Amino acid sequence: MSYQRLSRQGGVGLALALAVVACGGASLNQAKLAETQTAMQAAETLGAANDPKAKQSLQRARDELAEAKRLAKDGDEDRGNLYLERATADAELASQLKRTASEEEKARAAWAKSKAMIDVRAPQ
Amino acid sequence: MKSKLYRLALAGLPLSLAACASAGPSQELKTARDAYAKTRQSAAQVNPEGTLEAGRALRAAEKAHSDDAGSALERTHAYVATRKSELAMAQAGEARARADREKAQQVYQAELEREVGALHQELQAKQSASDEANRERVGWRQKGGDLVITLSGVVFETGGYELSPDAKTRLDVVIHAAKQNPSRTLTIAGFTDDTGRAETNRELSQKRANAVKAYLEGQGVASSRIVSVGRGESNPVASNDTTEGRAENRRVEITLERPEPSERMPVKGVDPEPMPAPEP
Repeated sequence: MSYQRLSRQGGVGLALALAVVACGGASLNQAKLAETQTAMQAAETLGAANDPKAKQSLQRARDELAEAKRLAKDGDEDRGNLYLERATADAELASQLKRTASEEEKARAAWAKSKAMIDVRAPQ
Repeated sequence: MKSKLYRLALAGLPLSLAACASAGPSQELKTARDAYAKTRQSAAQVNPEGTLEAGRALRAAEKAHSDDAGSALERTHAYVATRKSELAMAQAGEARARADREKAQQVYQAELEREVGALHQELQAKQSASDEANRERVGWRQKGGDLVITLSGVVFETGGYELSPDAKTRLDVVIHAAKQNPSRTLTIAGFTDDTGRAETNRELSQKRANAVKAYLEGQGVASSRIVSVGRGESNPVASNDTTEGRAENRRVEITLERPEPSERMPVKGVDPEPMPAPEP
């Protein structure tokens, strides 16, 4: 791995750590926090907010992350870390619900195309 | 491997673990157990890996319950176990939807094959019929040795040149025919109704022909085989005094042209079978 790439990764890691401190997550388990944030970012990138069930799950994840930070700020890091586990699970579910919805939509479109082909062949 | 994972998933988790704990299970744990039972029933066969993962999560929750019933740890692990079960169900749903889509694509392809086969048979049967009779068919006619396909009706809106989804479906038949007959070139002629100025209509019809050409190229028909031309409001096939007539005139005609005799390949279903060589 090149020095430049290592520097970039180190820079990204430092930026992430600074962001975590700024957002009040300093006392939470950093590995769990990073896992939660990665899972939420993935769900957002997939477009979970565009599907009702996925959006609900993603919102739960956001609420749980906020609760985790609040608990950590109040000195209850242990419970805060438990909320991170919940948030990660909800974010991962949000991503999967979006993927499933997308695949179901593709299947519906494929059947509609088949039906249109059959209708085209019918006498006019 | 998959059947082994399935058996492991079914072997699953004895629900009697709860009896080991001194206090009753939390509501979260009860929910997690129900969710896992549903997952085993509905998703284990399609998604054994996901079901196993859900089972592992539930075991962690049961252990937390055994160690300290009703604790925050038990409730959290049970919450996560429920989500893992839901995740496994959603993964199974994705797999089923993918299989369904593939089946739809197979049906579509079969219909396409049938359509082209039927069209070739129709053209062969109608070779000696008049143009008047051919006009009653569904947008196909034979002109000498050429095949002329007409897309009219809902193809473009007045003033527009974007293909409608229905037009694209009909063009799939053309694409299939073009690929089955690689020696034929395609001339795409765009036509408009007489709304507006003649020069504007000519430019619009060129854009419509170009839109069809672009779609065919995007679907794998070689650009070198396709010529697109705008005919404007010339050669109307219906009266421009009615809405229906104007819709008919907003059309695209695609001619699959028979190649010159020196470069011809016989087209099955259209050309007569070649005579056997005489004995020396």
